[in-house]
Amino acid sequence: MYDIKPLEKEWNKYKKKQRRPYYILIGFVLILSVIIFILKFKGISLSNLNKSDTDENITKSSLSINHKTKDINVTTKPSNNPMNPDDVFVDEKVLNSSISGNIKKSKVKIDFEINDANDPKIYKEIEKRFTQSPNSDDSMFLSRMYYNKKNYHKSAYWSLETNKINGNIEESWLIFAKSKAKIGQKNEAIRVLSKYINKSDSLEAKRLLKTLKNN
Amino acid sequence: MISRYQAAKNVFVDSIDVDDYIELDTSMAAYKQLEYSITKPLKMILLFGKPGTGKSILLNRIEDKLKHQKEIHYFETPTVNEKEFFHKLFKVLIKKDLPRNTEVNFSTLIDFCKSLRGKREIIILLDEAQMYDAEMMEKIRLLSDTRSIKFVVALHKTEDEDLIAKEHFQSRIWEIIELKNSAKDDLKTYIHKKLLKKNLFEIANAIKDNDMKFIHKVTKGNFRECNKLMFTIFEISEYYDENEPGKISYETMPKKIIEMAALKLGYINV
Repeated sequence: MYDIKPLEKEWNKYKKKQRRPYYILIGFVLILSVIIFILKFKGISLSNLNKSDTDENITKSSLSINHKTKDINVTTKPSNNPMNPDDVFVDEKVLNSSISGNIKKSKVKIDFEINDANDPKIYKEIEKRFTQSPNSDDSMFLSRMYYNKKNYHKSAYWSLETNKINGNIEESWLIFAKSKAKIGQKNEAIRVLSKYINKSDSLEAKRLLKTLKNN
Repeated sequence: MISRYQAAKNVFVDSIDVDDYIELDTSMAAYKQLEYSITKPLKMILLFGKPGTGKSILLNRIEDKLKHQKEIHYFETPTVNEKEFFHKLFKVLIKKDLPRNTEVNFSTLIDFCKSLRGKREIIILLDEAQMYDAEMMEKIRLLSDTRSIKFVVALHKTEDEDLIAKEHFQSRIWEIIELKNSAKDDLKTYIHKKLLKKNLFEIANAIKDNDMKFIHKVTKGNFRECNKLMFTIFEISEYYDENEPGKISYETMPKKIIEMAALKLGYINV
């Protein structure tokens, strides 16, 4: 046969053409696999990202809570008996809207009483803070707390300190008078209370004075 | 050194030699049907099928088998010349040659055939009958009416089959035998038997079922196309056997060679 070589070439072309659909199919399967792999990988990345976002949000929110001391408006419920532990309600405001509103305005009940009463270190810290930066809120807090703990000497002391900073805090005057009466200095208590009544004409002070005089 | 494939190649040279006849289930069925039809009092038997379905070799076979029992004659090449046809026919009837220049009168021929009725029954096998024109076929029809000559007309199956549709011809065809392309198993048997006839066992065994599936697919089961393809396959194998023996295997027929042969013959394209 003289034309075997051209025939072989023709056969090679034929085989390539015959295999083409298989190559196309394999190529298609490979491309599809790569696409599926990429999509799955992106899906995992997104879920990780979402998780880290959530973590970040939690961290940010916790940070914002930690840094809320300056921004928290602490309000005490007015009470007839200031000796009773008040429930302190804290208003949390949205500090940063960029944290996607994860932090919502809510009232969080913070139980200072339970924590502070059992930990004398806190008193020390507040006392230390007062010496560094006198503050009627701190001294008033200490006066109140010591009175509840029946440490009348200290409560009288801290009431006096409060009156030195701000002589218009009625509770401080009342705690001072009661503390003095408790430690046996009734006359002193009456004298100080009378002096306050002259100044403020407070009904509450008048009632207390009457009680001290009768008892 | 002569390649073993040279002998295999020659097995598939296309011929209608009766010695090359292969008995297959389908061909045997057709043979038996034809043999039975010939015995019936029929005027004309139509044997038709696509080229390469084995019409000619069947006619040859039946002539070879019945020549000692009946007056059966095989007209292989169609004689388009009417004069030559009648000369041939007359020779069969009177069993001797007519002088060359003798004109055969058709009417006389008809009368002579009528006189033979009941005394002789002559069977004429007309191959490639599609080449006879309408006028010729009409005369053949008239000769069959004498009932002393029975014609077996073999022709290609036409698309519109107008020859069969003609009323005067149709009424005279009492039997129609159709030959079709073979099934895969028959084709496999055909190839194997042809090779085994020449003691080429190893080559026959080297052709596997998958190869046969492809061969049948590209040849559509046609014997002539199969002969061409097998011849080409062994021609290519012969070349490799002589020049590049590394590319040939005696145990299995390389698919590449079969596909190359199919490409060469145009059964498949790039």
